[in-house]
Amino acid sequence: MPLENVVVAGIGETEKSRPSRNNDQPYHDLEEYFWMAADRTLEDAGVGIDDVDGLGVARSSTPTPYRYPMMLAETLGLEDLSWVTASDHCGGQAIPLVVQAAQAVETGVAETVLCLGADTPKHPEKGSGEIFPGDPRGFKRNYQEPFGMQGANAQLAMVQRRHMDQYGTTIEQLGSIYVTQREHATRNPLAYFDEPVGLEEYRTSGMIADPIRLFDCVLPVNAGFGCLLTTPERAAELGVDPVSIAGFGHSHNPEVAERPAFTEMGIEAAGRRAFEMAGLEPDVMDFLQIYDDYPIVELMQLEELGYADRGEGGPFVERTDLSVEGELPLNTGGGQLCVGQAGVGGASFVQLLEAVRQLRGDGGDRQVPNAERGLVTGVGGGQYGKNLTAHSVAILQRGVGA
Amino acid sequence: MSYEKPLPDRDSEPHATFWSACDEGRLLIQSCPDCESVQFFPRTWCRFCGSNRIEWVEAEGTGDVHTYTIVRRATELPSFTDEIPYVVAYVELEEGVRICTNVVDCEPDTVESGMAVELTFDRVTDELALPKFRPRKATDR
Repeated sequence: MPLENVVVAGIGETEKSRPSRNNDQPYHDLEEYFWMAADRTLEDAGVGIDDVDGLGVARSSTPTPYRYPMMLAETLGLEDLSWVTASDHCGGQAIPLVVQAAQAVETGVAETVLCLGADTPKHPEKGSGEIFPGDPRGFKRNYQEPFGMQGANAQLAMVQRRHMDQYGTTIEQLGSIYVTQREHATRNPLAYFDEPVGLEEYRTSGMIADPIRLFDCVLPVNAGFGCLLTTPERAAELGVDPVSIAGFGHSHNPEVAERPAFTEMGIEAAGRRAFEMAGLEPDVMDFLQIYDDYPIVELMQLEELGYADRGEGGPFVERTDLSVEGELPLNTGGGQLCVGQAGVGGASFVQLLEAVRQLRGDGGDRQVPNAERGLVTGVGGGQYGKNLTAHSVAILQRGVGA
Repeated sequence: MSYEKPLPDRDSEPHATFWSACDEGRLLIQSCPDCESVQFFPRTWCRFCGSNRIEWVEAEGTGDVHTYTIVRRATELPSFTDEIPYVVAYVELEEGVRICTNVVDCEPDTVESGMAVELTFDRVTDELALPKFRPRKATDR
């Protein structure tokens, strides 16, 4: 496999917070989240800050200046780095960032790379505080926003409408994904939601952009995440449980057709590349950590990855036990719908870090028994023509790569 | 009262040409004389073959609803709160492109995928008219 000289040696994830005028949840700024994430990741791996010689930073939705990764290196105290990079893949972030870092370690450019993602969409004084920088010139400003296109909620509502009209997918089928993940979140101390909900509560949660309901929408939280990559030799010295990357694949901007299909994504192509690289088939995955900004996006990915036929995602989730104890455990920590999504800076780290935990056997009472390998996806960025543009798939496995 | 909703860029190309035409009651899409493709959203080149000879053509103004949503909460653009509920849709034009727009002049709950629609302009400021769509009368089909 292409990435046999690199492993994940440490992870870090902060608590989630949604500070507002009406609660006393803590507020930390972006740099504090980066620091907390770095601190926990280094502690998990048992390395000091001076051991880090590479840095990868996921671009946040909280506005940051140009050259931000370099500024962050100084703020955190990371000196003489032999390699610094950034990712700008919106919701897909964690996978392309970590894959870049893995390639840097694999090729010997750096030995120990710290990847960080954080974001602060919630501010106690600024109301809802969701911060998405405006589009100064592009299609979003000129041909979507004048018509009141309400961001991803409206865009994915049109995708879900099309899937429902074309294939007969039901609210109950989509809700079953959410209800399962809410139960998983009750077993995850780092999840924002800690109470389960039933299908009726999902169904009657407030309508946002019909047919998208409140519980369909990813939960914005403030948080920071980290992932440390190093060589298998260094990991052995550290005495950590290594996790390796058996394969990865991307498909960015998968289609610019005149009449693109709203119900098709780039995960099929990204997944094909990842499975080919790993020499593995979809049916050998012990769990799936599928990027979840909305249940409809998960359902389409299950189709594109080959777990269900095109258009059959609805009946598939209806008949398949997606719980930790089930035949195809899905988003075992609750996913971003229930753990929370830290803007775009922390996006898909929830998936990635949960996969690492499961493969190290650190899943606690949500551990998938004998988990040897699992699949992680990241998806993000709104297109004009159909749905999302950044698509990444990674296959992780327990131990050092062979 | 001033218009508080998001405004497109009417000062630089290709957007200025598009929005000036809307101001005159014409909906423009683009066609490439070199590869005969049609494209939307506008660019100053053909994104199929790269030609810089891309031409503006006026759309007939008829099509059907490909997909739609009824916005019930203004989660990202709060200036649209006074419009709620309203329909954002992708309408497939006869010419073969799909465009982001609104379906108006009907109850939001009556909109459905496949519905036949026709162009209507909504003048929102002295200088800006938005190309929207309304149900097409049966006799026009």
